[in-house]
Amino acid sequence: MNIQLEHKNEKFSCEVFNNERSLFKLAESHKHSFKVDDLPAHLKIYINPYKIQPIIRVDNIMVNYGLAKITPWDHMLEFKLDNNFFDQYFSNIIEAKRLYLDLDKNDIKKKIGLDKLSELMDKIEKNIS
Amino acid sequence: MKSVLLTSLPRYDLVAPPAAIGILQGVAKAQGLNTEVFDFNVYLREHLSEAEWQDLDNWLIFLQQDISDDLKNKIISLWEKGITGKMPANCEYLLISVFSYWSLYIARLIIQHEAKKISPYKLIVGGNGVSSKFPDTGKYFKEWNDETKAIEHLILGEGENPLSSLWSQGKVNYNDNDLDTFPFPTYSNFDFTGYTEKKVYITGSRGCVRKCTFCDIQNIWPKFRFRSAENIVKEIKQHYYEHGITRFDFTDSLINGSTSNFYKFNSLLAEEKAKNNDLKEIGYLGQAICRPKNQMPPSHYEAMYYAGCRQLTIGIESFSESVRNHMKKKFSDEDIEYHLEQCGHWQIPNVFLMITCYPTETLADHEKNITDLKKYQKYSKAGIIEFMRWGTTMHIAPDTPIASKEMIKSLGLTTTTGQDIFYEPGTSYTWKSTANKQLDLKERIRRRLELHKVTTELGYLQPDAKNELMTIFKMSEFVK
Repeated sequence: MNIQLEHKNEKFSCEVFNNERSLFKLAESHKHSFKVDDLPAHLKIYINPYKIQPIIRVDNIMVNYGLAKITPWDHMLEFKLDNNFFDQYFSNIIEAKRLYLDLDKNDIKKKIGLDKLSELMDKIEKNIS
Repeated sequence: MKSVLLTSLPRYDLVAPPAAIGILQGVAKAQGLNTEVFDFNVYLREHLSEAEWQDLDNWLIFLQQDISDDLKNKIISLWEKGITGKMPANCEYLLISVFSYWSLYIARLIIQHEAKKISPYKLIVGGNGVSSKFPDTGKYFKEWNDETKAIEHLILGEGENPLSSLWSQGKVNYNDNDLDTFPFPTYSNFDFTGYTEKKVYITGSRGCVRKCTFCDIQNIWPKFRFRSAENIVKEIKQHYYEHGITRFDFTDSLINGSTSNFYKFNSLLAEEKAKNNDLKEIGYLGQAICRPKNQMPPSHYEAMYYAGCRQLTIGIESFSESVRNHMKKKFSDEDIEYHLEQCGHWQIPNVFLMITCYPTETLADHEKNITDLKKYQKYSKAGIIEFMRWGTTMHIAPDTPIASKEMIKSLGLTTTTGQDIFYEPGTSYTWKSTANKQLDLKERIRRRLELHKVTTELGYLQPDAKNELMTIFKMSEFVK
């Protein structure tokens, strides 16, 4: 998977670890891009200077830290990557909407239209058959 | 001090205070009037049962010929109770906003009731709906009022100037060609807790730069006009400091009608947010048009991100280029891909508005919709296509280019019994095309159901699907 880190205002350097193994160091820049082939990956990206929270893109799609379960420590970013990253990301979107709307797991499906509406569909199909 | 009660009617969303009332309240306050507001749409939703609300909705969108007298009496009684509770002292004007032609029947019901009363106030009625025809009588709203003399001040077109002139005895006039001269909308008197979101509508432009065949916006605003970027940012800051509003929803047909002004707006708002930490939560959403890269380069999307663009509603209408070309949408498949790529790059969620079963849609066009749903699934998983709305299949709206005599003739649009397309209110849904015989009502409903199934299986979110399918169910009764 392709990872991109970007900070508009500050240059930063980083060292990327996967599963506790250092992969590479990247010199100071506003933007860094690299590839992670060894999946599943537990990434730790040590960043200098501290407290930088860059934009993170996975396969060119900017991700939300909370939904992507990225932990921003003062000195590093930590998160997991796998082939099903965006499936998990999508589940987290639904869960975030559920919590925001204060609904249970069945009601959220109805509210956001993940419900197949089978009964209504059957009635319509019957009318046109 | 003179007073005015500003009211709005269904059919309108229940999400936030209606923009028209905010705008006209701003005009009234600028002329020194005391104001009060009453959102009858929200009030009715709270006081009608689910079945009554659905009946009312079907009537308003012309899928049902009438509603019962009991329901009409209940609506009148609720109206009377509601306005009595809100009527300000020395009320000289009662203003009714008729948002669209889907408000026509309830507006007529209420106005007929008001006309029977001996009231201390004069009736002002305006809004886009009053430029339309009643589908059941074929009479324009104005003709109806000329006959009944129910309304003292019927405002056709924009309300700002006629109302400022009325309320200032002709002393104040704004420049219609310079939207920056209009006063800012005011949302005081609104109880924001009565709405599903704490946000305000904001109007950056009027009119559109396209002339899509299915749309009547060019009748309302023939010319595209827009406010300066500075003026819009100033209004946003005002609502923030007055009501703590951080969410702004543009009413514009498209917020990127002028790409240069839109870019300037985003840059200015981003600058303000960078300078002032108070404003950092401010975000906006709005309708936009898909544009090619040379018109909206990547820097424009970047500026949108830093300004706080939270969601774009895009009228994609169809994934088939040939259908879109007939609609005069003027963007290509490549432009959709570019738009999604940039929105992904800057995490800008989209609502895709679709029109299924446009009169020229072939089976191949329908299949292209399904193919592209699969192709773009990754953007749904990433929240970039946040919602998909397939709608209720093509509805031929009166006074749109597709309802012109020439188009009706070339597309062979008739009712199922071969009569004029607007023969009865519901026939604008149940039309058939002699030029595309395969696409009868039954086939349209079949395609719409297939799209629902595929879209659901692929995991796209369709929050309006149930309401849309309820309307389809009503339509399916015409097939039986």
